[in-house]
Amino acid sequence: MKNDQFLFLDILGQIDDTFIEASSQPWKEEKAAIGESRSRTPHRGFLHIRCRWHIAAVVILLAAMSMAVLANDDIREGLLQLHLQFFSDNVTINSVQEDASQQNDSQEGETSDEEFRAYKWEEVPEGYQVVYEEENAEFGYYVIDFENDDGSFIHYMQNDASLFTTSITFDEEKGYKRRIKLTDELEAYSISDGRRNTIFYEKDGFLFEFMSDQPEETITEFIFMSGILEQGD
Amino acid sequence: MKDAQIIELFWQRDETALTEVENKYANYCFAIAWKILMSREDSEECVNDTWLAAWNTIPPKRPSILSSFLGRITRNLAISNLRKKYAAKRPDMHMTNMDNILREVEVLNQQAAHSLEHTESEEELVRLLNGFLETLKERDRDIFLRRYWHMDSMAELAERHNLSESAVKANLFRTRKKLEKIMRKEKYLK
Repeated sequence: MKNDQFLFLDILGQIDDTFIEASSQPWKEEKAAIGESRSRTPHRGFLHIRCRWHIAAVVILLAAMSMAVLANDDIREGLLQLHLQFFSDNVTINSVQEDASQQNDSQEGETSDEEFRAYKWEEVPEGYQVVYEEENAEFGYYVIDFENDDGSFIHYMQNDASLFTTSITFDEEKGYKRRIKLTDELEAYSISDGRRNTIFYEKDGFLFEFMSDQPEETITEFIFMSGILEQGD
Repeated sequence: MKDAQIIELFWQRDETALTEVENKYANYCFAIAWKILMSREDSEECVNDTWLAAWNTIPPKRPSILSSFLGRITRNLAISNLRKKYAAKRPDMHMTNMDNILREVEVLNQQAAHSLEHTESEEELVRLLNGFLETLKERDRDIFLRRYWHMDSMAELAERHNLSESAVKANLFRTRKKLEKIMRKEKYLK
């Protein structure tokens, strides 16, 4: 019996002819319906605030403004620059607009003038089920929560980065904060308060947060499995 | 010449069938072999062996899609050739793409080996794969097959689908995970 590193490729070699024929043709790009469907909506120039029990980590920047800033950091991946402020027990994130000329020229990435499009998970992680899901195009956010039978949770949130300011709990002693590479081009922040671990990044003008009690490696795997990274490309 | 006519020549044992497939499918088959072997000499040998194998199998076979039939033979021959090279520990130095592909399918290899050792036949695995491919979105399926059937490089896939290489990698990762999950569900893996 063949049982070597080529086994899967061998078996794949026996698939139906129709698959082989189709993949042998030049690729015809489907209509980019997503891109075409975007339309202009009035500018929403205010912060939107919402709360849920296990996104207690998300609070409005104003509450933290009076606290002493321990450190600052900026992370720029998309068209928006994220400004991070590290406090003793949380990290606040808000976006920093580029210079005015760039803003005016920019047609992509800034979403505040465009119809909101949720980047949704393409599959539910194995063993988990959806316990909450909410999409609000008007205020530019999408949130979904998963839980498994053991009580483990995954919280995913997508926000219009130009409108939203969030704060993520952080503990210098029990947790960590570091930059990680999700892909060759996409850098993210990984932050933990010792109990909840969060990976977040900015892309296409949105702030994406993945929070879970699972370790960073597992959250990274969730991110890849979700298909979120591919959306918007 | 149309494929049906070429197949008819094979059935009539007319050797012009070989000239016709050479004219029509040499480039196609060479490209398949080249991506696996990365050697002109070996690839040309593979393509020539493809015509011979086709001659020996038609009849009794009557391929429904001649290009796929020939491409499959070439691919099998090329993998067989490569298997020998790896067994002899003499894969060419420039085979990084194949090395990467083999690393990517390691888990799927283990799952397939496990199922073959225990309960399932190769035919059942192929059936599972066909069913799985049916469920994929067109783009995901194309990326998966271009990578693991045609052995396209990440750069080629990125260009074909107008994506970044990272997006292609993420796409493949997700599709592989889906397949692993399905194989587990189907009890191909304990």
